[in-house]
Amino acid sequence: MKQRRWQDSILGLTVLVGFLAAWQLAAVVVRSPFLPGVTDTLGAFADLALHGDLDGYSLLTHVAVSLTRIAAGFGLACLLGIPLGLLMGVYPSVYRNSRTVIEPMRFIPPMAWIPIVIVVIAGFSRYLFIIWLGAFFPILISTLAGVPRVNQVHLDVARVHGATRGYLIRRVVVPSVLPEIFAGMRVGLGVGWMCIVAAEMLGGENIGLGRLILKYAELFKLDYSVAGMVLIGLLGLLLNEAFIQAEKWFFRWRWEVTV
Amino acid sequence: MSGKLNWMLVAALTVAALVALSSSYLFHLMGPSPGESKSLRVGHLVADELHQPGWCAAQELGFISEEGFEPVNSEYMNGPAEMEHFAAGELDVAYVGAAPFLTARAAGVDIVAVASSNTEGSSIVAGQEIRGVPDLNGKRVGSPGIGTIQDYILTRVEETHGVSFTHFYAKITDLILYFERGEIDAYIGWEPHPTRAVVEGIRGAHTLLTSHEILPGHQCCVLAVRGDMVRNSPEVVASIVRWHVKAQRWVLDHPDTAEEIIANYSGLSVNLIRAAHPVVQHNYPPYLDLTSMRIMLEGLMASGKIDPKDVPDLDSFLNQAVDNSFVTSLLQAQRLSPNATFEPQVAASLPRVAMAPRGVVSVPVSR
Repeated sequence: MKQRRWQDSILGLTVLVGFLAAWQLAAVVVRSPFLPGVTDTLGAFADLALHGDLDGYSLLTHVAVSLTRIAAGFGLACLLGIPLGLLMGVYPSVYRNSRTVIEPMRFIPPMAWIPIVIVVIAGFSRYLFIIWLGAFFPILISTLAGVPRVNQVHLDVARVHGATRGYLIRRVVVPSVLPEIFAGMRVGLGVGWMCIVAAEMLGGENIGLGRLILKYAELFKLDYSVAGMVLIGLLGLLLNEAFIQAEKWFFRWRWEVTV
Repeated sequence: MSGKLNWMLVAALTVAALVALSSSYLFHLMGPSPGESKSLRVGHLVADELHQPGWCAAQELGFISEEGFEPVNSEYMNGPAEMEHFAAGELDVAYVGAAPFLTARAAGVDIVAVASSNTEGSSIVAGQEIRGVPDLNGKRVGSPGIGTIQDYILTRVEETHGVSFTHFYAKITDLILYFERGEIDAYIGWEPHPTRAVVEGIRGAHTLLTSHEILPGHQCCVLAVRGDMVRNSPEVVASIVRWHVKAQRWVLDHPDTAEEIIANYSGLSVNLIRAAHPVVQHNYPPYLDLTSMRIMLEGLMASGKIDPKDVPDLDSFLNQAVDNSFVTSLLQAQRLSPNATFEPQVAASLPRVAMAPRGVVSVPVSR
């Protein structure tokens, strides 16, 4: 088992090094100022980390601001998506009667909302809405889809022992659906994180990783933009890994939990 | 079994790669060959016809088709966005602000400015509580993008007036919304967008400064073309400059009709265009103003927007980036005085300057 893990680590590292080498090689061969190589990107990253951006904002400020926006949007998506998903799962008629609204809404990309969001919503709420929109539906749908999968035997046993509807929901349905909720949250976090560029593009404010990318792209300093992209990717990876570890810890009794 | 699966995976990936390669080659073959294209890809900015009347007036009056071009117009939310598409090889001609043009050129985009579209033409508008530039200190001021000429002008205001404010970036047509909602205290933009807030009386808006007061006579939008066209097909560039010059002259001679065309193309009211028109100068002959472009270049380098390493010699850089010779040749060959006028019906009979034969002008397509 340990040897297998080592093999996987070495293979993963080899793939990463191969990818970086191919990227650098492509940059050297193409020799275009619009295709920064690994070294250019690292240089830009170091410059941002040491000196901040053109407007004087440090890289940490950008990261902190983006994470705050993500946390707010994602948190709101959880607060609304989980109870609503449970409600619709437990009372399918709620879903049936509202699906004509929910289902089409689910397929409208967050970017498509931008024109109306600019007019209707102001300030921090704009970021919140776009990120919420990205994260909400995966959470809602996973929760909703998890309820019918609750083991019927568990429900029947509880009923035989005189469990009320409220007890069934609190003590049987919710614990059973938690892994699906967690999986939905993980997907929602990923989508919400992907919406950060769109959200920060319409926000107008000068801070945030999405805005950092756009700012330098406008100035053709694509090495800085790529540094921002890589940072968004790495932070997303870290958040995802943290989620997986939390999932594994919370549901260590459940063998299905996988990466 | 696992080995067999691996081989199948490798085979599938190889087939996918071959399909991708062959289809991209076929796509390459399907495109117009160099020298055979009939269309001319012209870029301009969203609702910026007052700064860039050349393309719409020329199109409306048939000046472009007289030169044998079939224009394909593309609209961009600001100059930097347009330059990104230009760098991607999607445009042959760009009507764009001098600052994004210089930034793109410094970054290595093969682009040359061949004529002026307008000088000055931007304004800062503010709410009634802002009575003077010092009141902007610590406030939020909207700009259509960090790489735009308007943002450069904002930085210049900060430097010359000793104030500091937060730049807030948004699409030009959205700035008025942010202003109305009180998310920004003032904003700069290309006309007529700042004047719109004044005309509509939003938050008691008034014009705080025009760009004339910030950098008098400064170059604003330019007509730029692909560098390889200047080197390899100067006759094509001469044709482009020709319809542009004719359109610029026509706009000066027929301001009322031009304003109607501009309003129609930009989707804004003609009264608004008329109110903002005096702020915008359509210089004629449309020579590019090197003095202000040099000042701008220095400013862009000082603020870190252009890396000084990319511009080791300012004069040499500007000499290569800016080419006024096409305008000069056109005027000389046509023996035109700077006050010559153009009418659509007589334009076709004017002598041509080292231009391609009538009919469709070939535009080499670079890949």
